[in-house]
Amino acid sequence: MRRISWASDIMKRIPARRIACGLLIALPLCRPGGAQARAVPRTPDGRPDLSGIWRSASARYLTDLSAGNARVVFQPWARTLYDERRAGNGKGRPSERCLPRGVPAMMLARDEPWKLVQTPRIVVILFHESLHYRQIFTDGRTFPDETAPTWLGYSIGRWDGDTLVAETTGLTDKTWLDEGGHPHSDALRVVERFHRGTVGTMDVAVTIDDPKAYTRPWTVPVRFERIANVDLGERVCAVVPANDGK
Amino acid sequence: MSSKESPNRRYLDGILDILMTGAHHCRLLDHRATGGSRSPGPRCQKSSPPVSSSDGVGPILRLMKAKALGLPAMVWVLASPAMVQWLHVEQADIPRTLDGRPDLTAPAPRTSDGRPDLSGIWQRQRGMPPSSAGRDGIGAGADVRFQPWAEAVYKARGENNGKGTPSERCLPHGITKAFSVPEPFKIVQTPSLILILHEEFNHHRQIFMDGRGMPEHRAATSFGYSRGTWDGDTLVVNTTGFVDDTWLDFRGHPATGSLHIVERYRRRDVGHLDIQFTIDDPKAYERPWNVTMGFDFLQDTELIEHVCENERDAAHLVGK
Repeated sequence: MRRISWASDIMKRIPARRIACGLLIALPLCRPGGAQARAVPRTPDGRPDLSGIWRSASARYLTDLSAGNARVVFQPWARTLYDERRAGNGKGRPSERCLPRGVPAMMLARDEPWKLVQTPRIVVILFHESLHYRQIFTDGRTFPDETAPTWLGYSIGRWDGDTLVAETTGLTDKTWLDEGGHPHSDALRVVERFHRGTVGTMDVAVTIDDPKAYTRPWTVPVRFERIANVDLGERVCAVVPANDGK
Repeated sequence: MSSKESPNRRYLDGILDILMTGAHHCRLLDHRATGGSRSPGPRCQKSSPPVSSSDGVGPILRLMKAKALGLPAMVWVLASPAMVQWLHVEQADIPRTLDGRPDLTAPAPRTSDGRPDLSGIWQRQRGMPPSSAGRDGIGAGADVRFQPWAEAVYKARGENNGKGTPSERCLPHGITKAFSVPEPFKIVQTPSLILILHEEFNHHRQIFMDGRGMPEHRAATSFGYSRGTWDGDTLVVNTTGFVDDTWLDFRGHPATGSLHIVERYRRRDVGHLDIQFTIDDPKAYERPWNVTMGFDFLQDTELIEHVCENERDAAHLVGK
């Protein structure tokens, strides 16, 4: 009787799956090691599956994308504009007028999660904010020769091992890199390296490459956390037409 | 649409059609011509009578009419088709005829799980009424029996040129209104989720295919909550959970939070998609009514982002 009692005590302390692995050691599920139940899922074509609802683990990057990064060296005009925006407490930023924050700022709002839907030829990011979406083309296409700048740009993705590398150009210079006012020019190229390290976290290294605004590219590691068992709602910034109230 | 037409030409023709029937979408020109954004409002010019014309000379005649209407910006665009944006993106997965053109009458492709694959970029079929702002909106030809209050609202909106439509404030169109515009949309199909990416306003919609039910606690939204199932080769989508002030079209067919829309998607062949909508809202209509819209496949191209830019466009809004 005593032995059984000891065994049941142990059972309470060990996760059920580990016990199952111990008993049924030959099952494929258990073979590579005990942590497989928490492994990052993969798509049928063998890629890590980045699909899910994610939000920034910290609010700091939306406030200040550089987050104290000493490698951020402004071109003079960009420094002046940044200082002006700081002095004005960020007044005039596009999101004040319900306009998109652009890439990468749109990804960074902690209270505005986004959903990533991954297919072999396209990755779509659905935003809670304003019901917008981004397309990242993974079908091998190249950038179009000439497009007018847009709020979210044109994004092409490729896989580098288990990392999705998305490159975005064609961004309008009307957006700010963050709510604090880091400016950019129409030469901006954003590279995002998406790596889902665990089921619950995705690290995205965001590189800002804009020689007109910064003397050299700079990279910020942004962590996103997964939100499970919910779905995106619909929150749209309602605009009051300017001619109302006349 | 014949397989020999270029999408660019087709798009220009579509623009001309829309312009010359005085619809709300002259803002479309802003977007495709200068990129990035257009206005949210229902229209930016008063209606002008349709111009009948035969193919070939039609666009030129219509262009001349446009000049006569004094729309210099539009004429500039129309006279410079090269300035209209059209992204060319070669697609490897479209069946093609011997001369390399997409074979739009080939059987609809299928996904690996054997379902019809609805994926692709679609645009409202040519020859359909150019705008749902027209006399009967999407209700043209349908047996629409209003409840008395709804009929009064509908009549008042007609007299006000549709002023007050939610998109004036950059709010989403909702299902049928979003499909009634000339801008294309893209379907991305996976076994458990189907996405509809509307070029207009850069808004998305999700159709859940994983057998889930309607969530118990969920705020009402403009696009509602959509769950799909397959009925043979037809995708059937049930949507409820709408906000209380839906406009089903630019003309102003009202709907309430009781609205239930059933959509039946059928891809006839590579080039053609039909969607039948059943509008069931007992608070606004005495009985359900049906509308079918046809869509043409747009090959070798890509959506162009459009974002509702209110302050720039508010000046274009008309209506009393």
